[in-house]
Amino acid sequence: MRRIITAAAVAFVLAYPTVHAIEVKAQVAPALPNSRIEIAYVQPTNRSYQPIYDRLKKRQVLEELQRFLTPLRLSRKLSMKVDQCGATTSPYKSQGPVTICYELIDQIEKIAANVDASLRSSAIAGAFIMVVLHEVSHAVFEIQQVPVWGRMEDAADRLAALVMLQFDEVLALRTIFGTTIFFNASDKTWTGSDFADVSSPEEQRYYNYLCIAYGGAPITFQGLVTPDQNGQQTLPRHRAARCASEYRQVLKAFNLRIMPFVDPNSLVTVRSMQWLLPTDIK
Amino acid sequence: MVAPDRHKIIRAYAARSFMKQIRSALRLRKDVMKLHLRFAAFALACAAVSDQPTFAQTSSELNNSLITFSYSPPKSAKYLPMMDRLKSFQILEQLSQFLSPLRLPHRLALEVRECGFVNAQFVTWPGADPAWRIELCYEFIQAIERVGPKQGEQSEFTYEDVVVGSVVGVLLHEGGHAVFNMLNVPVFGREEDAADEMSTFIALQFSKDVALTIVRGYSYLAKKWFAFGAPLYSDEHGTGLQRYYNTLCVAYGADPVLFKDFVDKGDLPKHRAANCASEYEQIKLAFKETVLPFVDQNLMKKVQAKEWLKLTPTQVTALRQQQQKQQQTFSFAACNLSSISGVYLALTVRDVSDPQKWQVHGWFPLPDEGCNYIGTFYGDKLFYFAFSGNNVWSAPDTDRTASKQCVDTVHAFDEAAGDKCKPGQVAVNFRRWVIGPAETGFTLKLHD
Repeated sequence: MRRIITAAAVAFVLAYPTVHAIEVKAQVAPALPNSRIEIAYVQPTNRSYQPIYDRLKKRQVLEELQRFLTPLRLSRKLSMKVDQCGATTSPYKSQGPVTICYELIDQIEKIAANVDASLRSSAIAGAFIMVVLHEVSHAVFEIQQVPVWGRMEDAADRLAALVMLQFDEVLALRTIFGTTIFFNASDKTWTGSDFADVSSPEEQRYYNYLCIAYGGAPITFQGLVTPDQNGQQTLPRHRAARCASEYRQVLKAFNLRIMPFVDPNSLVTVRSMQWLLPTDIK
Repeated sequence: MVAPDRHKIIRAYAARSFMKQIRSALRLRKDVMKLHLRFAAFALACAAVSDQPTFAQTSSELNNSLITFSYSPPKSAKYLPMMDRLKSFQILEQLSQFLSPLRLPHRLALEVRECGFVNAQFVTWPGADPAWRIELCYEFIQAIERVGPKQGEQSEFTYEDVVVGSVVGVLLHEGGHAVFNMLNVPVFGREEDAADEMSTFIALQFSKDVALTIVRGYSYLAKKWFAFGAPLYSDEHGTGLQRYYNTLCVAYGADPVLFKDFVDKGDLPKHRAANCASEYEQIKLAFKETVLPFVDQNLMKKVQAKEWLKLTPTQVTALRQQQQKQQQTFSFAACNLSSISGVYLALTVRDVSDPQKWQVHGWFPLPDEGCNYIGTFYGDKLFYFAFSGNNVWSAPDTDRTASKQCVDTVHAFDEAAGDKCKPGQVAVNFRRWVIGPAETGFTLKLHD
């Protein structure tokens, strides 16, 4: 889509100096990893992905995800892996697994290379988390037989965006920022039967994420509706006016249909922890 | 359906405030009476005691005392025949019967009215009575009638199929919004897509004829109207083509035999078709879990057993006459809003007097910083070229939609399009302009 929104997106992250100021480690007891989630780092056959494999393993990315998902009481086991897919994505299919492709991480890193150096790690981590949450959302819908109205791919995006907003504002800013950078880099022009795809156009997904973010945290994301010098808003007025109700709608759906599978005590523990500390994502 | 302009709605309601004031004094009494009657199981008598004579209820066994309907007389006389057509087709009676098996927590009004804008909408309006309303604007139906296949036009669908199917599809879409809102249904995806899914899903629960009529009509509308113009990705609605493919996919997923043509003719690409059975199952599960508990099963069976959307020969004739009347013309004005003075305009158009022929006309002078009405032309598109001295407004050579025509560089001219250039003429690229399906005319604005 390559729209001139990067500046606005960067602006709302820079507006929060605390993003780079937090250097304290979490003081609460770490959550236990979710035993119903199995993880695997599959060694890539393509050597160029070896550094990604090494970094993810050393950083224990999947282990952290296991801890993040501790409150989720899945009715069967779910396996998550990073793997070489032969494409950037390997969409979730019934019975799993959730697969994050080295190709996609490579693509995210290449996109982030164009971002200001001080924000690069936030962009990578944010986009990575978006992709993971989107895929996990698919798995949760399928395993728990959640009734989903609307297109499944958009539902997974909306649930991912909702989760991004349930932690501190630094995490919300980082993940939404990474998401916008990722979609903004797409240069695909959709025409004709492209629109038959089950996935939505990147630009549409971009606005969906921004809308949930603004709807859920209008003060944190006020920059999205601040007019630029031409009077244009990153999130146009006609959409921004509906975002609070869009957010409430997803939250209500979550509370009615997913919360019954979430352990409230460990949810409190997970929410009280600090995720994605600057030291973590270096 | 189309994003409603809230301010317009507010204005429209403000205009009716006087009526509301009168009603408000009676509202309490009416509510008490209605409650009393409901508990006394005399629901059918409700309409008789209503203080609002324009609202009515069906008197058949497919009755839901919480659903009322009204055909509000339009302010513009031009919509009166439309009101009569809708009444004769009993569109609101049919919708209220369609919805009758739903156990709703609030009263729901179905209304056709003149809105002052083109839309159909589900609204909750605390000042209105009932507050939960599905409103279909005469303007919206007029737009649908204009979009329908023209007489003599090659189309796989009949005019009446398109008009009836799309109006009912739109009403069921708004019914979907009403159900989501009133029953507090969890909606994880985008609500506009969800409402489309609800509309198509409901259509598929009846006879094959009903399913075909609504799916054809609604998909036609999505492709011909909603997909008009550049996609607006920031909108809460999907793009027109997304909605078109979604509708085909849900239908094909439900009945791959009945809707086999969609895939055979290539309307629905195979890669999407492969996913449609599971998409339909997803909607079926969502309906079963979130809406079915609110459905009166016995009444639902009666609704399904009834024959719906059947047109009498008289109604078909009335619609065909309507098709004939569809003015395939548009009015056209042009403005010079540029800093350049002395602009002249040439047009390639079809004249109303001879709609089969494309003609090239020139030159129409445009006032500096002003507008001129140029005329009324046939069809849904024209091609234009304008110039002043060395400044031109034309299509680039790369524009495949452009039309190359000859213009006289000095004198006024009137030539058949496609002719070879005569002495004193040069070929230039005319830029194409297509009229929006819901538009009756347009104004071309030339800028620097």
